[in-house]
Amino acid sequence: MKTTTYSRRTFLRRCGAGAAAISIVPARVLGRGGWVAPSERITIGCIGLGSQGQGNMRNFIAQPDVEIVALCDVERGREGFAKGLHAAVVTARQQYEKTGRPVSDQQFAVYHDFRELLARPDIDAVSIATPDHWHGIITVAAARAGKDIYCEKPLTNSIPEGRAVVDAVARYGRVLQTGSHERSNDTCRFAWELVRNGRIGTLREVEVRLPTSEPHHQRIRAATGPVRPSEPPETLDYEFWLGPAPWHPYLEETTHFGWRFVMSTGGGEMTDRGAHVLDLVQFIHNNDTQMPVELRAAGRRAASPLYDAFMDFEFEFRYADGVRVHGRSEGDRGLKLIGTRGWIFIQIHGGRLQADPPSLLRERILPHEEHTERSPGHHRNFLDCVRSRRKPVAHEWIGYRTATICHLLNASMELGGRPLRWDAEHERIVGDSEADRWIRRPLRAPWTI
Amino acid sequence: MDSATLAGAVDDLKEAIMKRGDWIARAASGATVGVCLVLGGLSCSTVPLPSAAEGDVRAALDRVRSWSYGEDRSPLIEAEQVLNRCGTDRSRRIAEQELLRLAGDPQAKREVRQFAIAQLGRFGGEQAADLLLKLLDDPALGDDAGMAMQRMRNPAVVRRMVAAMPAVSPAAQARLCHVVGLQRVPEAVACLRQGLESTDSGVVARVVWALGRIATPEACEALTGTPPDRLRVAGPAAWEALLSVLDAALSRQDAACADHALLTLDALSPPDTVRAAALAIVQRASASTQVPVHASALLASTNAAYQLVGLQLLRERAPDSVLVSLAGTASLLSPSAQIGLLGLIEDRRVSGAAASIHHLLRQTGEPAVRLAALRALATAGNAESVSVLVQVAASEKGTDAERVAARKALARLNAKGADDALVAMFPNASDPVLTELLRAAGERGTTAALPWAERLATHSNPSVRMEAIRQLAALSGPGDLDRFLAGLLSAQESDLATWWAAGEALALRQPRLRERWLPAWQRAASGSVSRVALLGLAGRIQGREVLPVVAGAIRSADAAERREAVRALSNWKTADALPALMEAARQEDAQTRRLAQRGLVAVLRSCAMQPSERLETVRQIAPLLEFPEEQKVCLAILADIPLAGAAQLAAQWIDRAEVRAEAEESVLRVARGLRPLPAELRPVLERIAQGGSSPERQRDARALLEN
Repeated sequence: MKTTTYSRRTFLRRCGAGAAAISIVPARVLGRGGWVAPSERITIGCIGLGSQGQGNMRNFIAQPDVEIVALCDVERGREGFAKGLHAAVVTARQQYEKTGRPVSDQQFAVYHDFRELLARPDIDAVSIATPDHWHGIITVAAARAGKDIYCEKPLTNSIPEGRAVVDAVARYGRVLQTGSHERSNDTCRFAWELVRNGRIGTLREVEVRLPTSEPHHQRIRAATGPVRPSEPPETLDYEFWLGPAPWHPYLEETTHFGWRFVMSTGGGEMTDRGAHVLDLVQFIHNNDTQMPVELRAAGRRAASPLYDAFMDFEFEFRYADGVRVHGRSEGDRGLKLIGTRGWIFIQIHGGRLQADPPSLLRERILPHEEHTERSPGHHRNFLDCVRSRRKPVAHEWIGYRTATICHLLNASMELGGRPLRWDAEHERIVGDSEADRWIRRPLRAPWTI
Repeated sequence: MDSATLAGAVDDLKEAIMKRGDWIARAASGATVGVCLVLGGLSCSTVPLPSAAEGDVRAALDRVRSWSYGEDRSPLIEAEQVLNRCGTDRSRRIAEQELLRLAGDPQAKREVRQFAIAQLGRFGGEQAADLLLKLLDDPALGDDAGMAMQRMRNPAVVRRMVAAMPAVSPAAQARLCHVVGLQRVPEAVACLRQGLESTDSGVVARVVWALGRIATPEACEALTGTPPDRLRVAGPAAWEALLSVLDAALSRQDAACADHALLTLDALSPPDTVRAAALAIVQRASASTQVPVHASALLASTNAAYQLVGLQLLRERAPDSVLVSLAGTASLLSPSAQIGLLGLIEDRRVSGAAASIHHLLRQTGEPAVRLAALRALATAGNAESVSVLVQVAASEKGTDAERVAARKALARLNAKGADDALVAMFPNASDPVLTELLRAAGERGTTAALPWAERLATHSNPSVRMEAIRQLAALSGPGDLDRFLAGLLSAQESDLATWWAAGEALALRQPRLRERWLPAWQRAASGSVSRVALLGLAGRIQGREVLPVVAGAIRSADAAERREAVRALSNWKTADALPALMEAARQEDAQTRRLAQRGLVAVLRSCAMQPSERLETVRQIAPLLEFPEEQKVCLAILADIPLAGAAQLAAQWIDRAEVRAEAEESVLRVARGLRPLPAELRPVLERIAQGGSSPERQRDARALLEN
């Protein structure tokens, strides 16, 4: 080993003294005289510009202190196609016009490779709305590049990726908001306060409903084959789109939107809407401090040549305090929190509440009782936290834990309905090495996390 | 046990579980017995399923052989189910052998081999490792082999991987680096060190990444002993690896290794975010009591990255006393640092900082800082904060966001003496402040402010008066209901709507208001104005106690009273109000009659009923409806009743020109929901098909008749 007089003290000193000379400081940070100017706009780059990505982009543009400066997608887009860079530029321009801040197309730099976008020092934060199999890799890369992150749910496509995201965010001191936006609904917060302040007595069980009967589910179920793989369109870099997922040939239906019902690129309804509903279970039952200790699920995969996600399923898990959560893929989407003195049902999306007795919904939570963070809106909450460096309402640990539950339930189904015991501290399945191997979803070279 | 006995046992079990209603055992497919889960006890246990036999595995995998991309996935699903049943060592060995056969068969299709390789990741042992190592160089299956190996954690398998590393191609070497890095295999460091000399930049990058993951002293030595130019080939992976090595070195208190890691990192000239991360790692590892002091200094830095590290460290290491002290000098910090500090104080509920926050709020004009300060007072404020927050909430100088933040903070402020401070402000408050005090008292449930709300419910300033009336609903208890009703009866006509809304809110909190309504009605027998006011309230609070009196009021000689009673009944949420409304709909007074007809369709539309009951009610109501507007609503109601009788009733209106289109549409909508089409509807559909009011309806009718 080299001998050196260099020490940590020297490093710290150099950090202090030399910083001004070498620093690459985001636009948000430095105002006049080196002081931070909070009135500066937060600059955002959007990665993944399908329908959800464009929705997030619109939400950010609606905030007066945000400037979208870069757009990135592996789909360059084409006339009449609602996804990809071409459509996103049009959407962004229209949204800016709506807010009374018209811009030209040149306002946005467009990228095909997210790494180029992340290398830009003038971008403060990124919005990630790619297919699920890219969430973890891009999020970790963004944290390392010093960007704050708004990432769609599920936060990652596997449990180890989730842990890597949590570690990267901690190491680089970033702010991360998972797109579990139901948490920002006032009604969900109110339900939290009712339950946590004992208005339904002691919480005993939770019923979850994740129906798979909407039109897009019907399309998934009705898909018939055989379907001949085809050449991807010239506007799409399909190899890049696949990225860390196992190689399979291009099938249009499973590349746009349908990817969420293919287990190598998504997780089916369990991670799609389940990530919203189960997120609220975590939020309200244990305020995101616990994880289930036992889970099991049984399901039937889509009987389709294109899709392999579970379309009909039932599941149950329990927490160490004995509270049980059971769910199935039918009914009115949401969760019913059942206590010893009443129940509350939260419908998803939107958070409409029902209760028994109905007077629960007129309860007032007094100052001395437990309150939870009031979010001014999910995207706004993220931006506020970018400034204050507080944890957003759906920060990285929350996203990681909720996604972990979804992945464990999917794993239980993949393994034929096997019950899984989860050791949250060591992040492993206890007593079942095969299942433990299975949940460590590998990544295709050259991608690592 | 033979298969028939087994299937019978499983069926019995399913039935038993179904009866218990807590889990439905679901057969995974017709081809297999299925998976049954028994829930009920707190422990997880599966019903032991029959282990897959050798023949089962082979047969299932043979079916997979013929599968191609884009074809029905049933063979894969069935094979997966059979493999899931390989619960014993013997059956797993059989499965592994069969999977090896398929994965190693060069004649098999790529997708078939991919499936087998992925399953080997789950089952495979040393034999599988040998095959996968060979496949690592395969241009089509190399990635799949590498991915399968990422799942294999058997020490013997790992040894084989390490042994194979020097001899494989660069592409395979990169894949193996990924595996040993993921699994943090210390034995691989020697091989990895050789990989640093590779001419393939992809291999170097992967080696650097893997050494960072392993992070042993040897890995550290390998990284720090490599020239910076060589490490730069790995790009950001080199920074990340050195940070990991630094972290690990500090965890095992290896100061020399940590210093070397820092030196190497510095030589790579990383960006500030990486330097800041290193700084945070070093500070976090320090046991020194000076860390909060350093953190405070970093918070005051003009470098944003270091400022963030300071904030992070304060969150993790600083006691409340340090935060109180920092808050005292917050005006010297940059606005972003102030916002960060205030957020931290809010999260920690550091009430000792309240005075400093008040001071900052008075001093700063930066909107974002002011908002952060107001939010912080919600959790960290004291009794004195009440006055500060009320003044901001009532001020016309600030922004809407500030006023909203102040109101929210006032509603949540949980400090000793806060309620007393609130009530003490009433006597000398200006009108805008009174409004805010009333609002805060209501939201906080400060019942000591109820006398003020009662008194201010007659205040000359409408804003104060309305807020007082609204908050009476929030503050009144069972003993205050008579006073509430007395207030209502003496209210100005312009305030009545607010009183009624308050009464509705109060009735939801205090159902006894309905019981108290009747005596008030009896006392107000002589005054028409009072009775109208009480009827308006009745329309909001509703209930069995109130209904007979309201229904009786439709026969009042006083037209104003009669119409208010009809309005009240029109808002009713149950069908109980319909008989009285029907009676009113037959009255001579045209205005009352029209009001009642509107009320009838409104109640019918909103209240819950069985379809047959709803249809019967429509039959009774329909002859009473004189005007097209109500008739159209009635037809819309009929359209949602899935009974042939609904269509027949709607058909009776087809001859009325004003509602013909709606009547036809109702018939069509009902008919679309009925399969098979009832014979009694054919004549009316034929009529629409031949002479309907629009070509679309004619076409729809024909389509229904043809189907």
